[in-house]
Amino acid sequence: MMPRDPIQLRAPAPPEALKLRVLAAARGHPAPERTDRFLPGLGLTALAAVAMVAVLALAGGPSHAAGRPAVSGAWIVGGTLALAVAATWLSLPHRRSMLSPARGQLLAVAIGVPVLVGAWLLLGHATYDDPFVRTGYRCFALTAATAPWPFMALAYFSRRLDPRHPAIAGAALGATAGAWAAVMVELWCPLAVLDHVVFGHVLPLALLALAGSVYGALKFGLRRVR
Amino acid sequence: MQEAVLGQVALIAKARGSIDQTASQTLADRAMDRYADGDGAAFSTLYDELAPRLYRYALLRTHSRSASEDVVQQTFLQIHSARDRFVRGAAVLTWAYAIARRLLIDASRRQGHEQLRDDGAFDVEERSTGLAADDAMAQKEQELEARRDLEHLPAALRESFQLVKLEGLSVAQAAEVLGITPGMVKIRTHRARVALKRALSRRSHDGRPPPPAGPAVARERGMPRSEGSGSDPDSRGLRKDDPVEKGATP
Repeated sequence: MMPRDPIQLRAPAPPEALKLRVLAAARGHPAPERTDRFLPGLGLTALAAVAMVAVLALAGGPSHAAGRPAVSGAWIVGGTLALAVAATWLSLPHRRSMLSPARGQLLAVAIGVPVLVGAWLLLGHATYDDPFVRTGYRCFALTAATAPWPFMALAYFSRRLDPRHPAIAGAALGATAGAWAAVMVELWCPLAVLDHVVFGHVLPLALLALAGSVYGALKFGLRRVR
Repeated sequence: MQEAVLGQVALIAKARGSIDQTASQTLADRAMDRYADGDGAAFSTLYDELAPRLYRYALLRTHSRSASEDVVQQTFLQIHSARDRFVRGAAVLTWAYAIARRLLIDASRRQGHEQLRDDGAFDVEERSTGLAADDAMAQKEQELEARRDLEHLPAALRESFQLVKLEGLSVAQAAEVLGITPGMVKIRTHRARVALKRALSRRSHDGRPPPPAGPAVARERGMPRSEGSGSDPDSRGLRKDDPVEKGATP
């Protein structure tokens, strides 16, 4: 019996003309070469840190929180700082990858940061009585003025090109920037009552995540090269 | 029955071609690193390494040569445009697949319900002119059915199955391309296998014969065992670390 050759579901090779077209199109769209991103990134991070401290100083500095016991303040700020570090680690791409982390991880950051910041503050509230009562407009404004700086640095360290879920990646970066802003705000604000926390501390973080998702969808997504 | 299903899968898996994945990846990564550093000639090498895989990946989704060419071209232009941000030592293969996948999703959304024209890009090739016409027809029918079964899978299952079993990516690589966890890739791939098995079972109940890809046929055809005819996990298109094969069915 004659041996049968397998008939294969074999995809044809791409035509040679396609290669010529791709090479010509690439020549027609000059793209910059890779440069060292570490030093500019470091500079941007330093700038973001200085800007956040400057905003905090303009608002009156940590002395505004004098009515809060120091130990409670340290716990609240320390916990938020740990959350900001964790969110940064979870939302940025891994060192050897061009792709952002898994969707679930990014969603956890985007949703978890506002919730955990609020919960941690409320937990701290049990340890002392609020020195005064405020609605939270100033905390809201302070968060809004502080968050864009870390967001700028985070966006730089992300690959700024996310073919999979750009909006979720942007939301995670927005929430992470919000976490860093929350560290500054909690250095300044001694209040931890529920209404104030929800309006002045949690709502701005949720809005930052939303704004980040819009930014991500617009800036990190693929744009057709013509 | 299971051998028949897995044989059917192996028929498709044969379409992976003879690209040595490990060597190809390393070469592609190195070429991309050189290209990012300004070596223009490396782009051609990168194209040679990645284009056949991306083209095949797109063809299986679009069935259209022109649409697949467009996806490949756009993928390379996206890589080219972002070369200044390419991380030294990063894997270009998963990045390229992720870009191509997004372009395919965008293209299908643009098209809406309009189907891409099937221009016969995946027509079965006959490698031997001595093949009997009846056998050729039977084989062609089996492959068309296998492809149809694959297309009828839910998109999430099909994507995982395609990347792991047909494109030859590792579970970790497929997870990176899809933006999900490796565990989820394993679960989806397993479910796809089960669904394919059920589809074949239904067809055989309808009176149509399963594909002749059992061990004896495979030996007759000279198919390597690793292409899906044996009884060990690898030979059935499964990895040894697949939890399903260890009794950890999700």
